[in-house]
Formats: sequence, C-alpha cells, structure tokens
Amino acid sequence: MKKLLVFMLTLVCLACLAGCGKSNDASSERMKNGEVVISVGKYMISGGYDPTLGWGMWGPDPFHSGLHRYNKDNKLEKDLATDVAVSGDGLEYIIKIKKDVKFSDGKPLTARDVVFTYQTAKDAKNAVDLAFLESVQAIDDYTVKFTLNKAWAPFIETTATLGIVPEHAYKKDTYGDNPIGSGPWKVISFQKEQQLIMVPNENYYGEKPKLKKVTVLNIGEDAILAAVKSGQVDVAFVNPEYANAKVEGMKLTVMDSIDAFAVNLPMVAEHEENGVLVGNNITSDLAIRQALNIGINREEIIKNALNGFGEPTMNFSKDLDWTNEALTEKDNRVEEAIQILENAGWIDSDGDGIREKNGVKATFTITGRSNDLQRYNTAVALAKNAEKLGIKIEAKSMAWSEARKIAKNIPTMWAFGDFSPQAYYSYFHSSQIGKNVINNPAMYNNPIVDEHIMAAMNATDWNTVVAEFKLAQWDGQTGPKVDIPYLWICTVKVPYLVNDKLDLGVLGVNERGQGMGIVTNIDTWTWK
Amino acid sequence: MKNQLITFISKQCIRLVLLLIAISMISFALLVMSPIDPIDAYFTGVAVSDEQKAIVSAYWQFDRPPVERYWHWATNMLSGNWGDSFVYKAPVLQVISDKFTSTLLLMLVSWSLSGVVGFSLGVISGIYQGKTLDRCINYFALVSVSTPVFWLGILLVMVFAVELQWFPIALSTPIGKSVEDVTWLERLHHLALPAITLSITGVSAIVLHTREKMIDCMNSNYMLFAKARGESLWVRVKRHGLRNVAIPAVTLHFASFAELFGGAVLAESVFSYPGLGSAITLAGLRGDVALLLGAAILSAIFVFLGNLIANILYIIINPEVQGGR
Repeated sequence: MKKLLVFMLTLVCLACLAGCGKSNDASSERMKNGEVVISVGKYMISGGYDPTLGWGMWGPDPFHSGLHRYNKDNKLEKDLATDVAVSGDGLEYIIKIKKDVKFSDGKPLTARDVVFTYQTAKDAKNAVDLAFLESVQAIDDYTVKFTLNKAWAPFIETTATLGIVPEHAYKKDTYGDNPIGSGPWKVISFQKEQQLIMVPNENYYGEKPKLKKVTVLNIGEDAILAAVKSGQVDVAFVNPEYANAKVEGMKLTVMDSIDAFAVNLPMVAEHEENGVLVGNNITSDLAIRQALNIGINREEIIKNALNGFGEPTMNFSKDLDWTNEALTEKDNRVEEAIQILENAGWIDSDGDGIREKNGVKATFTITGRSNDLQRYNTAVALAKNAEKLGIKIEAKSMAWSEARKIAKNIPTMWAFGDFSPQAYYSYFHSSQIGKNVINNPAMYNNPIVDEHIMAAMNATDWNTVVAEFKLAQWDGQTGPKVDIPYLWICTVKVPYLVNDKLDLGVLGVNERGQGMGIVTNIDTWTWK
Repeated sequence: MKNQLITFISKQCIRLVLLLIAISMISFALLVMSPIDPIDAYFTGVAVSDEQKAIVSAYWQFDRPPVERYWHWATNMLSGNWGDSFVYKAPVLQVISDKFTSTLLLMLVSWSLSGVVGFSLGVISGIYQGKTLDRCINYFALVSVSTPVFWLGILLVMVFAVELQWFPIALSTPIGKSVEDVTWLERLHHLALPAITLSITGVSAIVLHTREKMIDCMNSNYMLFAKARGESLWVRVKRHGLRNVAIPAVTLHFASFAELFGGAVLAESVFSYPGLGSAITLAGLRGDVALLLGAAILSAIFVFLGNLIANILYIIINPEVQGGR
C-alpha cells in the first residue's frame, strides 16, 4: 500500500512541476483578434433561439430585435418601432417600424415579418404571452395593426421580449438552432450544449459590437475553476462559494440581479380553510411585522448568509422601473423596534429572551428551499438576527414543493425576480390569494391597493401602468410600506470571474439563476 | 443448440415487452405523483397571464386526467411517435438521438477499455497470487472501487488538463472551432479523459472477480497435471485458464451496463461532456413526460440488451449450460 501511495504522490508532484511553465499565450492571442471565450451557464448554449417559442424571455436575446426593448436602466424604449399609437379603449395598437432594417442574411425586414412572428408565436401556444391578442395585420410595408380582445397594457412588455423572425427563412423544426435575426449578433457555429460561436451582424442598424467573435461555452461547476486557471476562459459564471478563489489574471466582477429574497408574513390569524391550515398567529400581528422590518440588520444577514453577495432592500429591486423607492428606510433600528413590540403588549416576562403576549410566545417557523442554499442560509441568518428583538424564528430546510404549499401558514423565503409588474398583481392583489399555489402567500388584502393594481392592469398606456403600480406600493396613505406583508431582505449579486484586461463597461441587471445575464451589455465589451 | 437459442431469445423478447410496459407505467405514475407542476416550473422567473398559462397547459394536455395522458402517449408510441419534448420543444426521438450518440461513444470506449484492462489485470494478478505485482493490482482495484467517479474526474482534470495540459479540460470539441472543422482525432482527444475516468472505476469488479477465479484455476488439479506435463506457464494459462476465467468476467461486464449509465451521467457533468444525463435531469425537474419516458424506455432496452448478450455468450462459452438446458 505504502509503495503505491508513494508512487501516486510522485506522479502528482511531477505533474505539478511540469505544469509550472504554462503561459497565457492563448488569452493574449484572443485579445489581439478581438475574441473572447465565455462560460455563462446552460441557457445560452441549449439552442432553441426561437423567439416565438419564448427565447428572450429568460435572458437577453443577442440575435433578434423586437419592436421595443429595455434600455440599460430597465426602462422600455422603442427599438424597431418608430411610432406607437394606442386607441382610447386600449384595444388597438398601430405601430410603425423602421425602414431599411435587414436580417443577418441581408433580406429586408418588413411588416409582413412582424405579422408572421406574432401569428407564429400565438399559434405555438407557448411561453409568449399573447392570450389577449385577437389579430395582427400589416397595413402597409412598415405599419402593423394589433387588435386585442381586452385592454392589456403589459402587451407592450411582450413586444419588448419577442424578437422578430424572418418569414422567408423560418422553419419550425430547424429555426431554433439557426436563428436569422435583426439583432447585433449572429450565430456562425452551434453545437447544442457545447458551444456557440457568434460574430457581429454586419447588417445591424444600431451601434455595432466592439468584439469580433464570442465563443460561448458551458463548463460545469466542477471544471470551471480549472478552465479559468488554465487561461482558456475570459468570463466565467461561478458559484458564490468559489467566487473568492484567487486566480492570476482574473478579477471578481459582481452583477446586480433583480432577484430579491423576501419572507411572506401571513396577515390573518391561523384558521382552517377547506381543510387546510392558513394564516399565522404571530405574523398576523402588525407590531411583529413592523418591528422585524425596521429592527433587523440586513447588511449583517447578507454577510453571514451570502458571503456579502447581496444588497439590502425593503421592496422589489430598485433597478426595476416600477419599484417605489419610498419603501426604503434605515434598518437596524433596534430600540424603535422594541418600543413598537412593547407598546403592542409583547413583553418578555419570564426572562427567556422571547417576548409573550396573552400567553403566546413570539415564535414562528420560516422554511428555506432545500435545493437553494442561498435562500436557506438567508433564513438562518434572519432567525439569528431577530433574536435581539425577542422574536424567535426557527429556520427549517424544506423541499420547495412542500414549502410553498404550506406557505400561507408557515412563511417561506421567496426569490422574487420578475421584470414585469404583472408580478405585483400576483403577489399583492387580494383576488390572487391561493391562486396557482404560490400567489399572494401573505394573504394581503387591502382594497385601496387592489384598486391601484386594477387601475394599472386596465391602463392603456405604459406610464400609467408604472405610476399606478408605484401607488399600489405606497400612495401616501396606505400600502405595503406600512402593512408589511413581506419582509424583504436583499437582492442577490451574481459573481463572475473576468479577465483583467477585458473591459465589460457598465453591467446590466439581470436574473440570478441565469448565468447569461452578464451578456446583456455584450455589445459594449472591449479589450483594454 | 440453434433452436435452444431461438426459444431463449423469443422468451426474452416477451419479457422485454412486459418490462417496458411496466417501466413506462411506473415512470409515468412517479412523474404524475411528484409535486412538480410542469407549467409552474416552465414559467419560473417570468410573469405571464393566467390565460396564457391555461393555453399552454391545454396544448400540452397537462390539464387532462393522468390515465388519458398515459393512454395518449402509449397509443402514439405504438405507432412509432415518441411525442414532443416540452422542455426542448423538439421531437423526443431527435433530442435523445442528439445526445445519445455522445453518451454511447463515451460508454462504449470506456466499457471496452475497462473490459480489456480489467480482464488482463485480473488474470495477471491471479497468476502471481501473493507477489508484489498482485498486491499492487489488488490495491489499485480496491482504491478505484471506493473512489467516486466525480472526484476521480476532478483529480484527473487538475493533473492532466490544468497542470500538464495533455488533455483538454472539458467539452467534446476544441474551444472556438466550428463543428465542420473538428477532426476525429480532436474528438478522441476530448473523449480520452472522461473515458479513462469512467473505465478506471469500472475496472475493479472485473479485476477482483477474475483474480479470484484465476486463483481457483491455478490451484486446480488439471493445472497441476499440465504443469507436470511440462507446459510452460503462459501455455497453461492460455489453454486451460482463460476460457474458464472468462465466464464471470463476461457476465459481469455485460451486466454492468446499468452502472455504466449512472457513471456516464456523472462523468458528463464533471467534464461538461454533452450527453443524455443532463437531458434526463432536466426532464425530471421540469415534468417533461414524453422525454423522461422516452429516456427510461431507451435505457431499459439498453440494459436489457446487455444482460441478454451476457446470457447468450454464457450459453456459447460454457458447455455446461448447454447440456443443462
């Protein structure tokens, strides 16, 4: 046995010695040619680059362009569209599009392609939300008329995520792997789940990308550090646990995500509904919710649970267009929080560190999704942090399917990460309690908030939508700012290892789970 | 002997059909009973109106009763239609064949490698029982059987890919090269590390079983007789040893198809090698019935074939079995 061990050790040592002489030739070669190699998660190389089947909804779409787009501040702006006229009842959209736009194959993009794209997406009955689109027709070569069967302002959002596909080159079975779009990039080689090679689309009408070639890989968690160390990858999506690894020539770059962690605090007392327990006797007390909201120290929770990769928040991500900043306050106001609790009758009379009111102890359970360590850790750190307020929280790891099912009774740690304010309707409107298992888990029921939400959903123009959704969060009188249906903790930051010499410019903001979020601004990347 | 073989095979085929029916039913039942809501899993992270969700659900028949869905799938299957994958939005057969070719290549190479190496090591180890060489081989087998595939994979990557740079770190083709320009040599180069990883862990069982059998064989009277007749060691082993020893090795090796499947999935994840593994995981997590059932059926056929071949070879190699039937 010893001999064998010695032999193996020698082998490993030899191997290490031999490896000392490696160089970074490959990366300087790429720098010279304006090429980069990136590994940014599975989604970008799994194929199916077909917008009519939902490509572009879960991440940026470098290959197509749509009628609208989100700019770098996450605000909607016109892209292919030059003029948008909405009828007074919100049922008709007449959109004029740019002339002289060409697909990457050189053929012109006209209103026919737009009609074809929307019709195909609707017929596909897939992810693209066109449930309310009645019909779409071309008025002339550069004007399209959309008719809805219900006023539905979020329709504009769909026009921002749905890239236009060419009618002349679209075949349902093959298009997904050979996209031909009007976006800044085009695919020149693609191997499913292996690598995607893309180059700038010389026919793109906007500002052209600075890089000459981007190779996208998906190297798994196990091999990614090795790949980065060997100098073969310039931008790598890494686990937060590995993110502090020191790699020569690479630096840690952090992207803000819109994913916000929040605990739902059921607002009604525990009772049975159709044989299921709902409500929570502790969180239904307003004093408990308010005390937690201002009393906990979010910075400390982030440090303990997420290695510091988070940003404190008291509402949806501040990077979203429709988030009301008025909800942001200073936290860690322990004295004030204790005052609120004591005024409401929560006093620790038996000296065990936990407050009681009418013989009930201020203790409740929060579940953390078992296959999302970040969320569970946040629940644990929150529990620890609430101790100083005399509130005992028990953090419990639980399978998500179970945790969300009982969430109206036992709160859980959510990750809210939607660009669309439609999410607000699902989480805050009273009609949504119990819908789709997960909707409105706080059982929030505020008629005035409901009114604002409905005003937003039935609005005919986007500015009203945004304004009403902001009022629904706080209109100066009432709203979640004072009701605290959710205890917001933080938005999550996503770590990447990036080559020192690569300048990524101002990063966009994206979702946590999809490593490809960082490519949102890939057009502006450049070698220093 | 021919008739015997034919009845044997046809009996096995009937068993296969029953097996497939059972497997598809059980997999389907498990998937339906699992708490995963495919629509919910699909729309994670995007806000979509309930109306659109209903449209998608109806299109993929998630709103139908399970029995009806199974029946629909089964009747389609009988007419050769494997259905469409909800996750990949492509025909199941196309998804599987895309991925299965890489997995199959990986499995075949590592399987042959571990068979040849394992058998040779086992024979040598048995011949030199108790000597240093035998002890080394024995230790190697014991260490490798207790090494998890993914750990071994990471170790090999660190040594041979990162430090020595003899082999590429991951993937099945060179970085930055178009598919058309990739040569077979490059493909094999990329296949080497995952295949070696997978075969090292597959070697041990064969080595240990073959060694045991070889020792029995070496201590037998007929070996003693052959030795007395003056046959040299290698002639003895060749004439009287190998055939006897081959039987357990062959059975074991063909029956190991099932483990090979599991190992390949792990190796694929370590080396970011494209294959069926990730597709099956995704199908399970997203409630993609057609793809999961397709993969289950295919792997069942594959494992079954392995066992069938083992059984047939058994009949051919071992005269005792022929007489007995």
